Amino acid sequence: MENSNNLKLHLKISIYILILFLVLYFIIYIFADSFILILYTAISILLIISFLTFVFLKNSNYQEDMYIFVEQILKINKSLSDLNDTLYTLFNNLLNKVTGHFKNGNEIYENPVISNNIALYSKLKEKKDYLNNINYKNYNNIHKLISNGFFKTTEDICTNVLDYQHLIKDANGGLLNDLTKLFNGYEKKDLFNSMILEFSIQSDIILNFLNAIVSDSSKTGDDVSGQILEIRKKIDIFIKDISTWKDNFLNNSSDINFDRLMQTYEVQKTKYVNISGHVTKNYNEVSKTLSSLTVLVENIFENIHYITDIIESINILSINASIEAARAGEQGKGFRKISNEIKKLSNNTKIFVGKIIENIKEAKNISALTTHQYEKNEKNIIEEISFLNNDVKESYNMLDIYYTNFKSMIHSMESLTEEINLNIDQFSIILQYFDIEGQQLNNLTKIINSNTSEYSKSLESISYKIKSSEKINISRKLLESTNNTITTKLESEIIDQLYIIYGIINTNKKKIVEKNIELF
Amino acid sequence: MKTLLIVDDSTTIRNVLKTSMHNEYSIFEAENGEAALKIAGENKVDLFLLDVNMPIMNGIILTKKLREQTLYKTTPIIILTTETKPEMRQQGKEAGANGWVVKPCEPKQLLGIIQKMIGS
Repeated sequence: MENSNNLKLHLKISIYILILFLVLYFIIYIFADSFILILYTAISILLIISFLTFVFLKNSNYQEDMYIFVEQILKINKSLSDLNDTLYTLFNNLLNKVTGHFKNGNEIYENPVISNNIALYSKLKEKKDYLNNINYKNYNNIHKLISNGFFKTTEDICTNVLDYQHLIKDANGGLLNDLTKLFNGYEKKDLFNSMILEFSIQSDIILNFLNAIVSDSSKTGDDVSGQILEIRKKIDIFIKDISTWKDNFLNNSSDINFDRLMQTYEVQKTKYVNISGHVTKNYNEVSKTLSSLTVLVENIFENIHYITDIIESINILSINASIEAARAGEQGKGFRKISNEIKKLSNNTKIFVGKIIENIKEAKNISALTTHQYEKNEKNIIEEISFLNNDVKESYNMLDIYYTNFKSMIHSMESLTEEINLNIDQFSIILQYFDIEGQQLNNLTKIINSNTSEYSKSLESISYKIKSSEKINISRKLLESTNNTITTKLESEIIDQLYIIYGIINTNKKKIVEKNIELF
Repeated sequence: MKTLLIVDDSTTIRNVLKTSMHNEYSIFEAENGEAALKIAGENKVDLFLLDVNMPIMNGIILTKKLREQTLYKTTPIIILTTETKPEMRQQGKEAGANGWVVKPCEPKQLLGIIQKMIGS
């Protein structure tokens, strides 16, 4: 502004001096001789050259400012380009690491052992998606800003500034030529200044985004590491539990250990099977004995008939003997006695056999009844014992399966916790990268901040005042163009803040509904 | 149980270290050198794990301050940092640190170093 006014003033003075010289030249031409005229002309030319040199030198301060400005712009451009590279590397690295890690994680996730601990893994998956979401979001933000022309704008400014630099360099060639070129350069000043303003606003936007990304990354790192610490603590408790279970159930140190229980159970089962075998066998034998007894009783009963037949025959014999004894008279006395005794014997035997037959009949009935009941019970008892045996076998088999599963479950849980711990260790390294790269990003943001503030100071000294309405127009145009590309809540918040900073009412505010966590 | 003091301005790093060491050691943590000195004054610390670049008081100055105290003249101090410059490493050594570990590090490896220094 000052330089521009100075230049205009210097030009006006030059024209007035030129007119004064011309008037004096005509006066000398009319009244003085030719020597004085030549001397005057020479002095005039020298004075004009000196004055124009003074004007050029006076305005060359502007050139120095411009050089400084160009240097600063290039410096900013360099740091922005570094930032761009770092951001790409950072997010690519993080994405590769996270994706690579969880690619392995997915293999673990598909493991049937782990599917039993789905809750723990779903937490990890949730975190994975959260991380991916944030990284992609941030990556996209940066990418969008870059593709939106942030770097194109800086490039344009630099091209323009370099153009300007060439113009200034060329100005050293010849006085009039330089002045013309310098004025031509000034014609570009409006465009140049609006681009500088645009650059300044774009810088604000990207710096706000960067700060948000840095804080977002840092929060994510803290959050994830906190969750992992909690998971690790739970796993450690879990490991202790498993160890206690193992001590209690699988080692011999405890009374209630599984191995011992199984051994006892096995012994008892064998005993039971043996006993039930004995019972079945004995029952069979008793049953057989009973059957034999019944047969025996039948046989006895049949033989009793022979006895009664014999007794009957004896009785008949005794009657016959009595008849013969009576016939024989005195000589048959002894014989009669014998026949009487035989008769008595026969009668007694008859009574005795009758009793025996009754007893045998009773025994036969009892035996038949008992055998029948035995036969009936035998079937039930053997069936029951068989069922019981099957039940015992089945329950033992089930217990055996349970026991095997329990052992394999403990083994699986141990390998699972080992795998999780291994993953946590890998994750610890990723988180450290995350933190380190976040710090680098933070440092870069600080560098850009300080460069931008230097550049702003320089800008104030060389740029003329743009009308405030024009500034608002440019700011609005830029913010609205960014507004149209907003997709996340974070971007929306940043743009809202910038609207406030630039004192513009956001008439085209975009509503963003963002999912914090999305599982696919 | 022996005691560690982790001094780092990053919550993430503190969490990562706690995750791999909470089972073996009792852990105190601080965000900067000044807070660390306060904790070290109130408790007996068996080993220090320090970051270098921290606000308020950095790790090198903290190491020097700890070495000035009779209680911590010989207590192991491990610097855990992203700094790889030899001159910084030299500064740490001169200040009295016992080790310099560059981040990122394997938590198990670090745990191994600590166990060698102070046992489990």
